[in-house]
Amino acid sequence: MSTESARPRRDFILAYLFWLAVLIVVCVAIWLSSSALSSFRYAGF
Amino acid sequence: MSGKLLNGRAFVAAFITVALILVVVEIEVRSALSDQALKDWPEDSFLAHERDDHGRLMAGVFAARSEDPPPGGHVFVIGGSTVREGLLPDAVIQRGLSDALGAEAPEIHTLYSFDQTMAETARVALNLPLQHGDTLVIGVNPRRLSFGEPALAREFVASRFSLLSNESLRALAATDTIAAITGNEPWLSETRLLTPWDSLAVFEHRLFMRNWVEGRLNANTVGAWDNLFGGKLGDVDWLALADVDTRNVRRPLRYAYGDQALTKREKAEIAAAVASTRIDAFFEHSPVDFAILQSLIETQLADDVYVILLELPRAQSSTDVYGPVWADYETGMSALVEAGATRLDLRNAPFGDDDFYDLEHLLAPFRPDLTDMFFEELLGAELDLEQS
Repeated sequence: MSTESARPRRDFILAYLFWLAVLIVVCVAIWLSSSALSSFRYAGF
Repeated sequence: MSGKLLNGRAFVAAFITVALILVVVEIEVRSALSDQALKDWPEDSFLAHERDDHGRLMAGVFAARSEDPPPGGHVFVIGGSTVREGLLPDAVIQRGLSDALGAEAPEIHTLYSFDQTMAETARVALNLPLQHGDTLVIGVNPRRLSFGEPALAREFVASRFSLLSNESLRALAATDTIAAITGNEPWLSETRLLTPWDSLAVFEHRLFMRNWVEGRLNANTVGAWDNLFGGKLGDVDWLALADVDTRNVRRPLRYAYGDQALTKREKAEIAAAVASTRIDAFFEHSPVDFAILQSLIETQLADDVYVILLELPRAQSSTDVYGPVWADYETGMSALVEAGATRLDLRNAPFGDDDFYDLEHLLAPFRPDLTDMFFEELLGAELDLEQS
């Protein structure tokens, strides 16, 4: 495989991994922020 | 941002991958938290930690539902922390019931959770295996009638009891008694077209799942993640982030208070907080909570279930600070009695201010006395428990 044909593929994989990480972080952040409910923590009363 | 990362095809591929991951997670969560699957959960596996009132309560509901109906029927006691702290464990009350009523004594279950709202009480009650002749005891006090519409709305978007279905509560909230006050707010109608994620199990059960995971991780790990998502990067313990060791949760611990009361100054601070916030909250929210109770009572009486409204003792200083609400409170309670509920009023039981941890939670040494009073009132409440 030539260097010229490998580079676009490597760029695609890098971009794919980057967006995958971004989207996963966004989903987790939305889930965590929507699940924050301070009164749910045990307060003893 | 590097131009190489602005790759449309890569973004679409990543988006599809995340969507597929979400579908798999959703299927797994829905399967693990289905009614059928929950029947097989060991009782202590619902607990996020030993003091997880909500996990313990839901486990109690599932356990009661999976058992054959006892010959003497059920007595379910539902309430907040005053019920939790005031009464002795079920086994003790059960022994008393069995001694008094023999083999036909009903089976008692106390379902407590801190800061339990009346909407939560209704949700729990409507998920119980109540049958003809059973008894439902509901702890009531001004504080418990001060959560109102926001708490009812929360049951449809972010409930602490999400493992218990909210379908019956949705029907209850649509009854004329409640809808006349809430105006049948949008959260009662079908909102899933506007907020499709409401239909996702991973979203519906997020409070339970987060509490459950957090409670089983060690405190350093939870603190590190809190700091990370709270933007306090300087305080993040980076090594703790990856520490996924979990601990085993043993039996639930019921009582939070022992025999040591708060100081007079601390009690005065609580009284000041009640005066500054809870009185207004009662006047703002109690109409909805009284309506929820009334609808619940009517629903239960239609199924021949007795409903008892239990009022536990309170310190004189609490009675004084709640002074402005009592007239309205009495009017509301009288209406509930007219609707068919029985009232067990132990507010004036002979306990002194020093017998309470704060203003309403009885200290441990006085639980036996209060339990005896509750027991005697329960047997004397013209409920014909022997026939239940």
